[in-house]
Amino acid sequence: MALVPMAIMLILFSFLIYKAIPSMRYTGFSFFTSYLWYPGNVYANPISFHGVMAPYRSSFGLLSFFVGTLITTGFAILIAFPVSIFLSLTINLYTPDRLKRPFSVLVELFAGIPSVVYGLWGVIVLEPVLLHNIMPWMKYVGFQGQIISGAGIMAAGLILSIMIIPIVTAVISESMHSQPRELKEGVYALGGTKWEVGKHVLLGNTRKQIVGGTLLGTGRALGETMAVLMVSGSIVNVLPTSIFSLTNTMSAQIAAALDSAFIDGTGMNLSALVELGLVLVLISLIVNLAGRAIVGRGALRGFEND
Amino acid sequence: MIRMPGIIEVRDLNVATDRQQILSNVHLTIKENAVNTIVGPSGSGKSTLIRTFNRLTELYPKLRQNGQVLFHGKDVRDYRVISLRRRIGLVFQKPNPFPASIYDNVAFGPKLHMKLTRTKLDEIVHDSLVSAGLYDEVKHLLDKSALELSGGQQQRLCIARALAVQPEVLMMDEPTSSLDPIAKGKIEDLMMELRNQYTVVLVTHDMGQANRVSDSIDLLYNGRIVDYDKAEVMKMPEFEQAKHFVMKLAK
Amino acid sequence: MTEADFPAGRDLAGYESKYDRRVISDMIVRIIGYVILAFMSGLLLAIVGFVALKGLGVMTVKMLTTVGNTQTGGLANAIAGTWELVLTGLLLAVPVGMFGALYLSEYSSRVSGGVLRLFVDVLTSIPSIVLGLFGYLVLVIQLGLGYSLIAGGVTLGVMMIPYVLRISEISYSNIPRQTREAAYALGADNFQISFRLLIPQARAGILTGVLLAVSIAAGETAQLLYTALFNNGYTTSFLGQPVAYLTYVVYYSLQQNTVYARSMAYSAALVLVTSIFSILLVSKYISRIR
Repeated sequence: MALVPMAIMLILFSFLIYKAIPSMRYTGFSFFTSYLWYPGNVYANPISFHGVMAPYRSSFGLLSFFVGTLITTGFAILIAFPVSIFLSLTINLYTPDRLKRPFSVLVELFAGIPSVVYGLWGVIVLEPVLLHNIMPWMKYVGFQGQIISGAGIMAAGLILSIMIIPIVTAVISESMHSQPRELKEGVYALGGTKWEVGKHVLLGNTRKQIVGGTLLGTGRALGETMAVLMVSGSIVNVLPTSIFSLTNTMSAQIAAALDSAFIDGTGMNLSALVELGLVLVLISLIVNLAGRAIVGRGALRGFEND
Repeated sequence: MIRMPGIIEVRDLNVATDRQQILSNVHLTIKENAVNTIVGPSGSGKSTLIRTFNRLTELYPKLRQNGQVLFHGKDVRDYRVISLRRRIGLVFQKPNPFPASIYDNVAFGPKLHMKLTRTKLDEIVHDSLVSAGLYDEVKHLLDKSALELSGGQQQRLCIARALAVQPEVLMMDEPTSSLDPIAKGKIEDLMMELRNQYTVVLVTHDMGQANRVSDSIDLLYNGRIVDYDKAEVMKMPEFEQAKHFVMKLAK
Repeated sequence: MTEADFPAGRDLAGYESKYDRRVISDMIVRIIGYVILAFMSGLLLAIVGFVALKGLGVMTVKMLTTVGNTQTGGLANAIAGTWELVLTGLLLAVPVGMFGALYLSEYSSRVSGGVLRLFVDVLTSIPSIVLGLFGYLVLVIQLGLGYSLIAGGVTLGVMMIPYVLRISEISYSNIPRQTREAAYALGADNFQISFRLLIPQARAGILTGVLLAVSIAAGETAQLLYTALFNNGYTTSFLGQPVAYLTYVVYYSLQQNTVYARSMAYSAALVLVTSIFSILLVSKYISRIR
């Protein structure tokens, strides 16, 4: 039974690679350098190129989705990182013991909310607030660019940050909590303030786990699909020009384009999406495994071991 | 005889958790420039008692405390806590050097409390290591990790670290209980030297050690300071030696 | 500063000089921390409150008891389908997780354990949409299962395996060594020890893992989009019929822009969040009394 995960993973990777081969042959290296993604005319006669069939005038490049993933994930980390650090410090230094339990339950519930529900809240509440209250104000303080909609980079980045804060906080807070009592008391006994204990012991000794927790959060943000699909604006063939731009991510593109890919008789649209998925898996794997190697085993969503 | 009030006076101190009384009606005087020893079996509340002096008990919110601890005649709660803890240093039972270099361990406290030039800092580190009797052993290793030192050296490093912030009182909570006899001897010698400059408060359950280094001894038993002649305590084997020591003092 | 704050007799001039700045920094960090903590707690309550208010505002008995197609009708088929999918997933995840963990905890060597665990980690790292893509390519197309309870449930089950496995493994390894040694001393064999001793002793832990996996699976969407599809009615067999599920209603009905479709999305979100929170709290409770 312990072999089953391994078997599933081997099947998964071999299938993804096998199914991505037509797209690799068709697009070659331009898959990574082009930002144009055209399904082509699937009703016209297909063309043959490098020994594979593809719809007329189809073209596949991941750049716009890659950039979108990078920007929304980066945005999320930019917010989640300081927030998680402050939350962990506050929980470990300033929160009375009897409140710690309720807070940890709260964090777990936070992590349990389905991503479509975050997406729903994003569409109904966050987007209008961004559009009518935040963005005009941002423009006023000097942000450049055209305001198109509440959806886009900001909405996706903010939703992602809300989704990964519980993960990052759980990992960081746990590693702070496991710092030896003697070290904390050592600083207190020398006349240190709580913040000095936080700075020198809690932050100073947990740098690795802070990086690891952030990587796990990054991994989650990279792969997150539904919430981003709902609030990103799902734009294609355009690179973002400002913080107000609509965007799209690799995962959201797979979810959004898969059903229309089925009508492509040559299978090239499907193959290109599989190649996109393959790239996404590889990035996600590197980030997650690095994070896990640093944090150690145990942390799934970060908090199961408490 | 009129007794001079001590540098620390404990008056009718009670400490308890919800479940148990830890200290009951403790009265105690800590005399300046002396080794003041508090002995008692483990679990008698010694560690809790000295942690009320520098208010480290406040890190344990479950402890309820009433009664007074006076430092220079003023309630410790009327001092700012970071100032109080600088002036009343504490060395822990288990050596707890920070995971940093030897130099940084000693320099840590002074850097917290004031801005210092590198020269001044070097001087403080040097002086503190000398006072702790560690300088000769580590003078070429100041950039080495403190965790590479032996247990006894680590404990003397912790003493140096505590001395570096220029405390008036140095409290030691069973400082030798995790050390081998040779390391223990070195620290005992150190205590007797330190009393010329500092007020030392020693907590131990080792009566032999108490005999060797103390200027005064108080017995703490079940959270109470007990008279030496209380028969029930004296029947306990670990206090046999205390009896002799007290007899000796009485003469 | 009072006189007693000044240390007596030593070269300490200036020692208290950084004093106020330090206390102020401490205060600033504390205030920022409290503000962020309050803000994040408020945000969670706002999101949950939003789901509760919107959902309760439109929720009717009819919504819960009639069959719907994401634009008209109710959620009964989606509710039933969600649990059918989750339970089908458990059929895969529970045996693999429970026995896989048993092997890893009791019988694996350093190397074999390390390799197998690495693959569990890899499995955890696969984005859900890629699992969905895999389910589509392998189960729906290659194995010819079509959009079905099997295809959707197994894809969901793959995602649930690591949760069940990890927590089960922790529960097994928490059983004291002496317990096993006592059983071996009485002449028990590996099989008896596994089934009579370890699994019963770890069952609260396994259950916690299962409930956690269920709570996550019930909220997943991306794995199911192209494996379960959707069904305007109930799904009554493992094969041959697609399956409705709640997260799809939240996602899809929201885009329909009719008042009724939106109210379906709100209701589905409320049912989801209520169920997931209940499961998480039950699992918390079980791990507490263990």
